[in-house]
Formats: sequence, structure tokens, C-alpha cells
Amino acid sequence: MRWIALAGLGAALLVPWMPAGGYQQYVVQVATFVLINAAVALAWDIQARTGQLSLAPAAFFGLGAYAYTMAALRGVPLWLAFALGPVASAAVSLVLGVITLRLQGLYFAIATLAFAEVVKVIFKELPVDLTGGAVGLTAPPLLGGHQTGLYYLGLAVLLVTIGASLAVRQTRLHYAFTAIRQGELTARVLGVRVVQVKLFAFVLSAFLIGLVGAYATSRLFFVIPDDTFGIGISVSALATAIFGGVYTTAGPVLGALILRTLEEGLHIVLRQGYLVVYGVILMVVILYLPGGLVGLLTRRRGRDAAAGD
Amino acid sequence: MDLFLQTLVNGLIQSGTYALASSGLALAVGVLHIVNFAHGEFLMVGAFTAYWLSLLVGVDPLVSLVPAGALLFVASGGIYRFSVRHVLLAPELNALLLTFGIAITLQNLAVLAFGATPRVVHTAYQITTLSLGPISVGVAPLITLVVSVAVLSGMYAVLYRTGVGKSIRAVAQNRTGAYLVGLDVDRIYLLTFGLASALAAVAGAMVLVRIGASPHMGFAFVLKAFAIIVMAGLGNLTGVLWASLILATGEAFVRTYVPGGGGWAEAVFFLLIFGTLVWRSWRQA
Amino acid sequence: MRNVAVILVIVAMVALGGTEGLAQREQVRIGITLPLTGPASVSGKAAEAGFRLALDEINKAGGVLGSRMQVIIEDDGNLPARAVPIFTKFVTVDRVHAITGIFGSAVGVSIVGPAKLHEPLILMIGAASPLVERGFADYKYLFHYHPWAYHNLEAVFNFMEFLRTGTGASTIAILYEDGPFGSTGIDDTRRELIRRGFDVPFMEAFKSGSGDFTALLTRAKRHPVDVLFWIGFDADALPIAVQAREVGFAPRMIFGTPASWPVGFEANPVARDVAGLAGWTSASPLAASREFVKKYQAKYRATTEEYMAPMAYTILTTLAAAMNKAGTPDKDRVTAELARTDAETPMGRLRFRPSRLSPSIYQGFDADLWMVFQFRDGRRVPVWPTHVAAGPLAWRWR
Repeated sequence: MRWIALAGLGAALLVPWMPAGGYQQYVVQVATFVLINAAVALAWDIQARTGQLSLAPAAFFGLGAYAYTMAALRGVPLWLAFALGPVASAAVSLVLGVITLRLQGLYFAIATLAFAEVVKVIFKELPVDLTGGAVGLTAPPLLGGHQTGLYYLGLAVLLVTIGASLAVRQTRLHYAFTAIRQGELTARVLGVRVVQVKLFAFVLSAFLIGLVGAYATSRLFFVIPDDTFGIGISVSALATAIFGGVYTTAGPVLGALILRTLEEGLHIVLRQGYLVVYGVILMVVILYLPGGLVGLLTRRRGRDAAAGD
Repeated sequence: MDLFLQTLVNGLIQSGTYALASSGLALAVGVLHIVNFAHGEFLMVGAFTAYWLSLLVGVDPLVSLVPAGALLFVASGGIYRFSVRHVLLAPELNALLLTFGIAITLQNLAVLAFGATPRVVHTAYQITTLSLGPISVGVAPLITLVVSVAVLSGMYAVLYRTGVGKSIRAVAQNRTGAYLVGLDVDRIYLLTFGLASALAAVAGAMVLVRIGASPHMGFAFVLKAFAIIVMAGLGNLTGVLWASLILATGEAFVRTYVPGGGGWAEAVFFLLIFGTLVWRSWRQA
Repeated sequence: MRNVAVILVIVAMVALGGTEGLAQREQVRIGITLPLTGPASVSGKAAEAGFRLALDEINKAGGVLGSRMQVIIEDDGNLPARAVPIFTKFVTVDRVHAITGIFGSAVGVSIVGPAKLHEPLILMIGAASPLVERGFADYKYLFHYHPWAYHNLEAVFNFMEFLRTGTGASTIAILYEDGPFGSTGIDDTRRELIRRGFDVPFMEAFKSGSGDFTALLTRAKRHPVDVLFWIGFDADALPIAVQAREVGFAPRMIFGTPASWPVGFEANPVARDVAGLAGWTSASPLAASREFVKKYQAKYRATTEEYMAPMAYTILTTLAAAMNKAGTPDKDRVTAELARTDAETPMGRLRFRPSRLSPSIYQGFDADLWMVFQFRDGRRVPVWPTHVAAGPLAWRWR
């Protein structure tokens, strides 16, 4: 697996230099959006490993985006505004995490969903000169909008997320996460500090998503409650992670790459109705590859699955 | 006082739509733990079925409830057999992604077939109103309320008073145990999933009268439906009625009495759900 | 023998040189980005139909600069995440001579960055938000055909004044959807109406598509209201009309401004005399409009009520005309010619003026684009402004 990862990193680093002729910039831009999707999906996955099905990524993404935008528009230096994004998300996630500590499964999922929707409405209804209201705000771009520079910044964000995922995987935290996912009560009995671990996962995940949110905004130049806090962000994160293979590092990243490429490819081939094929592919993959894409790869290797513990 | 009563009535009537749209999901998720993301699309298919029957054959949507429900019952049986069945034993997340894929497929098939523009029908009772003193009540939404109450109490009766219901509950409680006592578990899942989808279609037919049918209509409903059944408590069917009532009335009061309440009503909806879930979780401590 | 070979080589080289020269007269390529899928696809597909109709006509008349005009149509789904790569592809890969389409305001804002990098010629069919206007400040090659959001409001104000003059209407209740479409400038709208002497005792937001208006309409009922003015989407048209009757709320006119109306609405009795805003209707008596309807009917064997179709048709035909007049695809020359456009279009006369907030932008249609129609006998009957009216204004309900 190691050399595949290195090869992938190499390819990612070289994307802006690849001889794609005129398609150069187009490829870089699509690649940037793949990075964003991958990072959000992976960050979601980190926290999903404790068994919590969160639908709050949209809220944290939006909070990161809005924190950056609102700070930048008030004259805060851009790098500081950028750092403010993840911090704001992390702070809010801590509070949310504590409040929802005793919720499990679908109850937890709906509670986080409800939270995200409430946050969306708040940003829509607050005074326009504060948050821009339903119309949104334009955000100043980082790095002066330089395409290649922004691509590498996005890659850096994804690498930080991958680093976090690997760190969690390689340490004893991995056992704690898995134990909690398989049974909170049992985990507690085994001596796992359930509360701390759950909160840590939740806050770390939110921090990373907030980081991606701030980054994505400096790329799209625009925040608006309906899209920036849109539930599509949460749903896409979890669909990507499941498709690629949950509870793994490579899964969400691979999922983002394949899904986005698939979507673009299908779109080119079938102008209308490409989404129908897309939906069918989602169905087929999950029916025949219960471990997602990664499940396929590890099964081929004959190793006991890293996915679906 | 009049305004207060009318607002209460408005909320009561709207709760019927919420409850009916959620009833099928309450059955699928609450009882059988099948996280059916495609519930909204089944509702949409029901709405379109009723629409076409109304346009082409002149059948009133109220009557179309039956064929729409039957169509979805059969179709979802097929969907169950060929896909949902295989993810029942897989992690919960897989059912989620599968039904999400089904939802996308259905939604975009509808766009291809019908175009994205919403379609509306005309029925004789669409604007009929009952006046009880100073309070006015629309007949169409009143019928929806009555149907939802009938459906939910009917479901309750079937689950707790009949043999079939007992089998369903047995499977819900302990799948393996149900096998061991000789129940045809697969058949029960099939029937229940079919019934849940049929109920979604019935809700769709009623929504057609009130709002219209459009390929993208399903998503908003499935979102609220999930929220409602979770607030009611998974497996608690009568709770769906209470949850719908509280939520719809909450929205109605915010819209009526709070300046700028129109925009905040949705926040109140989800805040009530959030609050209920959190409060319940800590109370059990 | 060798001399013959040399002559042959020279002849061949000359011939090749000649074909090189021919190849210089390359085809004119136009990049079009539209929402062909997703919730905005109705407008996007209407625009595509208009573009293709124009393309046929242009090429049948000899094309542009001596060869056939070519369009590259891409689907952006009204999403910035799609539109930005498409825009870049148009400029760097397809090397188009102009870019058009650009329906949604979010898309319009998102392409500001890449646009400023390459500075292509842009002709916008939509994107009415002032954020787009400000984003493109100092841009030299933008032709914004569609009115800005404040133009739309101006038209509404003018209509309200017309109502007041003719019927004495003075009280307006406003319902607006809580997204960017309904909320843009809503507070300014209210302020302006009050400034013009109207009374606005009620203004509330609603969630489009929710279908539940009973509470809001019950509340609106407490005021004597002449006009119920709502800004939302097609899915809201029926519930508002139905539920107004349900709660006994009877304004003298229901005036809605969704971009399109549901199928079957005009056949429903509740739609009677509901007023709507349109950029154009197929019933328009203007000569250019009747021509357009005929051509559309001939090509597609159908009629359309979507104003994006004639808008797209107008864009491509005026662009082709400007390019032919300029004699070159060079963007500075084409811009100069296009800026001089004075054409009779299906939507009325088109001339470009400096845009109000960003004078370097060429602004095409303004508030005069908009007309008000009422649903009557299963059709849309224009009732204002008077020079396009095909029937009397119906003022009813009490």
C-alpha cells in the first residue's frame, strides 16, 4: 500500500505541471475540487470511526467559510482569517459534542442534522450587515487568486487531513475509536476514556472541516447560507467515504477521486441522464463491494480487511 | 383569541401532511431499521402516479391513493428483492448509501421523463373551506389529516393486534430469534418495506393536491420525515402524530406571532427536534 | 528532371502556403455555459433552444466572417464548482472567441477570477445580482443583456404606480422566499415602496416549496390589503393561490414573480387573474416577437413561454451581426461594434448603456423589459405596459 500512496502523492504534486496542453487549468481546477471533497470526506471519516454518524459537516464547513470571510472583510490579515476558520468550527463543535454526548446512532445523526439546519437559518436571518443574510458575501481570495498556488494550498490541507487520519490510525487511539464504535459500554468497561475520545474525534474532525471550508471559500469567492451550509456537503462527505471505504484513510480520498472523475466523465459521455447512471453505479458498488473501493483492493490482497472491522 | 385558535387549527391541519409523509418511514426505519433515503422519491413517484391518472383518466387523487400505493408496493418489492435485501446484514451505512443511490436514480429518471417543472392538478375540493365560526379549515388538508390519523392508528392496530403485526415486531426485535421460531423473515421484510413505500406514495398523492408534483420534491420531505420519526422515538408510531403536531403548531405560531417569524419558522422546527433529542438523552441518565 | 522537381516543390509550397492562409480564416467558436440539469434546467434548456435556433439562422445566412459559427454548449448545473472549470476550459482549451450563457448569480460571481485572468469577451444571459455587477467593475469586455435585480424591482414599482393610478390601490403585503432570489434587496424594496407613498403593513419570509402558507396568510388577513406581492418559485404558485382562499384572505390582486409557473396552473380556476411578471410572452404583439415565435414553431414544433429562449436568440444574433460588421473576431473590435447595437428584438428595442454601478459594463435590457400578465382562460394575457397589453387589467375579488 505504501508505494501506491507515494505514487499518488507524486502524481498529485505534479498535477499543475502535467502536459495536458490546453486542458491544464481545467484539470487543476477539477483537481482542486477533488481535494476539497476528499478532505471533507476524510475528516468526516475520522469522527465516524467512533461510531458517530454526524450530519454536521455542513455546519462546520460553513462556519469555517464564514469565519474566514467575515474576518477578512473586516480587515483581518488573510492568513489570520484563514486560521480563524478551523478554530471557530472546533470551538462550536466542542459545545455541540458535549451536548450530544449521550445520543447514539440515528438519534445522534438527526440531532447533528437539526443543528446544521438551525445554523443555516441563523446565518440567513441575522442582520445583513453582520453576516450578509440570504444573499451571501463575497470573500477575498487567498494568495491573490493564483491558481497553482491555491492548488498546492489545497493539497497541503488534504495532506494535513491525511496526516491526522494516519496519526489516529497508527496510535492507540485507533483501538479506542474502534472499541467505542463496537460498543460504548464495553469500551468503558475496558478502560477507554469514552467521553474524551469521542469529543477529541468530533473536535478534530470539525477543525479539519472548518479548515477546508475556509480554504474552499477563498477559492469560490462567495459564501451563501443555502450552499455553504447546504446539507449536500454532509451527504456528499458521507457518501464519498462509504463509497471509497469507511474507516480507512485511503477510502475517502480514493472515493472523492473516483466519484468526481466518474461524474465528469459520465457528463461528457451522456449529456442528459448522466446522474441516473451515477446513481446506479453507487447502488451497484455498495451491493457488490460492501467494504467500498478499498474493500476491493484489500480483499484482492488477501489481507484481513482494514475496512469494516 | 380568534387568531390564536386559527393558528392552532392551522398547525393541527399541517401536522397531518407531516405525519402522513413520515408514517411510511416510521415503519421502515423505526420498526425494521432500514434507513431508507429513497422514501422521498417514493413519495414523488406516488405524486406523479396520481398526477398522470388525474390528467389522462380523470381520476381524482383521493381515489388514486389506492393505485399509487399499489404501484409502489409492487415496485418497492422489486427494489427490495434486488438490492435492499442484500445490505440488511451489512453495516447500517451501506443501506444509507444504497438508498441514496436509488434516490438519485429515481429523481433523475423523473427529470428525464417529466422535466423539472412542477405540475399541478385541479380538484373540485381544492379550495373548499369549512367554516366553524370564525375559524376556517381547508377541506383538502383536513382530509390529509384524517387519512394520516387513520393510517397511523391502522398501522398501530396491525402491529399490535394482528398475527402479521406480531411477526413483524418479532423480526424487529430479534432477527435470528425470528428465524429460529420459523418465521419467513425475508417475506416479512418484503411486505413491510412494500407497505412503507406504499404509504409514501399515498402521502405523495395528497401532496399533489396541495402543492403539486415535481422531480425534486422528495428531498425536503425525507429530511423532515427523518427528523420527525427520530423525535417521536424510533418504533413509536403514535409518537409520530404527537411530534408532527408539536412541530407544525410550533411553526404556525412562530409564523403568526413573531415579527420576521416566516424566516425563523424552520429554525424553530429543527430546534424543537434538537431540544427534544438532547433533553431525552440526558433525562435517561 | 530536377528542374521539374524543383518547380513541383515550389508549386507545392505555394499551394501549402495558400492553404495556410485559408486556415487562418478559422471558424468562430462561442462557448456557452448553461444549467441544463438541476433545478434551473428549465431556463437553461430554454436558452439552449434559443441559441440553437439563432445558430441555424446565422449559418443559413452565411455564417460569421465567411465560415460557419460553432458553439460549444456545456452544462454547469448552475454550480460554481462546475462553471469555473468550464469557463477555464473555454478559454484555454477550446479557445473560444466569446463566452455566453451564465445564468445564475453564484456562477456569475465565481467566474470573476478566471475572467480577469484571461479577459475574454463575455455576454451574460442572466446573473442579475449586484454582486456580479460589482465583481466585474472595470471589466472592459462584458455585455450584460439581462436586467439587474434593481431593474426588476423598478419594473415592479412602475407597475404598482400604474395600479394606483388606475385603481387607487395603496396597500401591499409582501411574501418573499428566504433564499437569495427572494431576499435580494427586499428591505430596500419595502423602503422604496413606502417612499413612493404605498403602505406595506406586512412583509414576511417563507421557505419555498414547503407548501404551508396558512399561518402567514392568516396573519396577512388582519390588514386590508390591495395587492399580495410574492417573490418565490414555481412550486409556490398553487399553494399561495389556494391557501389564500382557504383562510379567507382576499386581496384585490395576487401578483407573483417566479421565473416560471407550474405546468397546468393556467388551467386551474384558482389561477384566474393571478398576475405574473414576464420578460416576454409568446402573445406579445411586437413584430420581432411574432417572427421569433414563427421560427421557433417551425424548428421545434412547439411554443415556449420562457423568456430565456428569445434572450439567447437575441444574444447570438447580435453577436454574429457585430462580428460580421467588425470583419474580425478580435475582441476589441467586436466589443466596439457590439456596443453600437440598436436592434429590434422579441423583447423590444435593445441598446447598450453603461451599467449603473460599474460603468465599464455594457448593460442591455433594463426595467422596460418586464411586462405583467394575468392568467385568463388558460392563457397568459399581457396587461401592462399598455403598448404590449392584449387585454384589460382585471381588478377583482371584492
